[in-house]
Amino acid sequence: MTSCPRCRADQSHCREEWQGLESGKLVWTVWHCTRCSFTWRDTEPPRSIDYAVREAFFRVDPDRPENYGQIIPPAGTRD
Amino acid sequence: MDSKSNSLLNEARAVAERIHSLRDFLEFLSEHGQCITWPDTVMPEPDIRNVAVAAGRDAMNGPAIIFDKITGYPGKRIVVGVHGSFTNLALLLGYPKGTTIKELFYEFVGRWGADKPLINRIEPGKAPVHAHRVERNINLYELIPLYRINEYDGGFYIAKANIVSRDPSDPDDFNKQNVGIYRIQVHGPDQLTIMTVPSHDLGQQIMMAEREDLPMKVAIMIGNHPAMALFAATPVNYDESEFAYASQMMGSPLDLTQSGNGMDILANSEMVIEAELVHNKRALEGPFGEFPGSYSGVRHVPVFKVTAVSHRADPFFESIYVGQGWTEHDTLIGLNTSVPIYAQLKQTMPEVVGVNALYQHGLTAIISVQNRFAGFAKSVAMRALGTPHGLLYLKNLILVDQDVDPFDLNQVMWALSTRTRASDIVVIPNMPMVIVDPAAEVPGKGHRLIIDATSHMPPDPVGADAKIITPPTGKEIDDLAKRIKALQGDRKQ
Repeated sequence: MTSCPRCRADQSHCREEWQGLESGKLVWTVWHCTRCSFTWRDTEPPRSIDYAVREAFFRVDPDRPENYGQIIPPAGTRD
Repeated sequence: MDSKSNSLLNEARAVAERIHSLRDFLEFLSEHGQCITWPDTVMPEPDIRNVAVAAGRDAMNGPAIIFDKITGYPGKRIVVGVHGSFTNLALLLGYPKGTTIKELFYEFVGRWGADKPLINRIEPGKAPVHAHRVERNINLYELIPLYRINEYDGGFYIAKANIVSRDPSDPDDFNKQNVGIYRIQVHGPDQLTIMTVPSHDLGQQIMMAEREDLPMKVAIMIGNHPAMALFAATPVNYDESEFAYASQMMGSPLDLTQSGNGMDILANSEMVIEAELVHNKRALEGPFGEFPGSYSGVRHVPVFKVTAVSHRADPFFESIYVGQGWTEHDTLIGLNTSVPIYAQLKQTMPEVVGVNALYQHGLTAIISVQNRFAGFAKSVAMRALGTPHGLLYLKNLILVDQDVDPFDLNQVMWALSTRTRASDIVVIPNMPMVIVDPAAEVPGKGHRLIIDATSHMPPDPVGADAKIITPPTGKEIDDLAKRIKALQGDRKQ
């Protein structure tokens, strides 16, 4: 059961992007979280892809978009 | 002109005529022992990161490194460290191994300018970059061996691409076409974000396109002529062409062609991704391990949709490691950060001898200057803070005398040790500051530090019983130092 290592979104938000093959054999899968935009490969070290091991500082809460600034605000929302 | 300068010029010309692409340069570097192919099979993470960090420890002579056995990416190739050492830059300019950073700096100064663009036009049908073209079912993960550069990056980045864009309101003006390096995060098979800020050329173009509802297209060039990567990282004026800078720098024409979406692109790049701004759409981007050696935050950043990809056969994915210095990023932009500051200071303060702004894009810089009168060096520092790059980046400035090589940190430390008094240190509080400076009290604002390590002169009282030794310096000693190195090398063989 895959879930997002960064925001813990469940599998329904995890989109399979690509599978790496060696001689026809699956060696890894790349996933993308449609909630927080995190992308990961399932063979990466735990510090990158294990929610429990990752530093809490790097968690993202997609329910709080106001926490993440706009570098270039969309037209119409600019002052 | 003496014969040595002549032969150097000839060598520079020969190199410029030979190198038309990244491939040409890798071959050239290999011949000089400056490009290696990693012998082992690697995992995309963490192996590529680990090797790139290790290579970064040798800023002077580290090689470019090709990976061609990447688990899960059969047949794909990654290269890092192409601009990872000063020797690689020296070879590009026709200089031999053993060239000092100071010599390279003055060579850059001599070649600086964009008044003589040298462009060789190639029809798109004949351009190597268009050998293979994908317009449907585009999947960047299939086309590029993407990997995570730093362990907490928000995704897989294309971090060393040169992005070409045109002024949406004046798309026919060649000179308003911008070429820049901006970090690109892949968000899906045909979706990506490009990180730029309102003050950058690309940021201005995005804002204009959204405000006026104009189409905004980009061509993302990956694996490029090595001079292009150098100059896309250089801030030139909005109406100056980076292609012109790069060609003049090499003294040889750049081969340009058209992308499928109408941009001028390098005809010999490994790959070009054509993409279009999705108006007013934003995605969560970051973090990304940035050049000060710290992560940027997560922010909402404009989204682009990929419309086509062109590439050569077996393209190299040219990438870069960015993080705690020293990394390829520092070598790539260091001299191009230093030279404009030098040129701008020199206009009104000809006593300025050299500028070393190699450290983290100029967060620390060392300026050597001949004091016109007591305290003059501090005025030079103030002026440096007012240069376009100085406004946001020059945080710590060290001023040394004209007899101190600002690129030789042993000499700089000598000057700090022997010529600095506590009263020669100036702190200017609450100045504007680049937002990624991890030492800022609030992002975007910080203190500036000036250390005047130049010697004292009247009416300044000088230390009693101290007279500076004047050791022999100049070309004769530089040549002797090189000869000593060469003799050492001979003995090893």
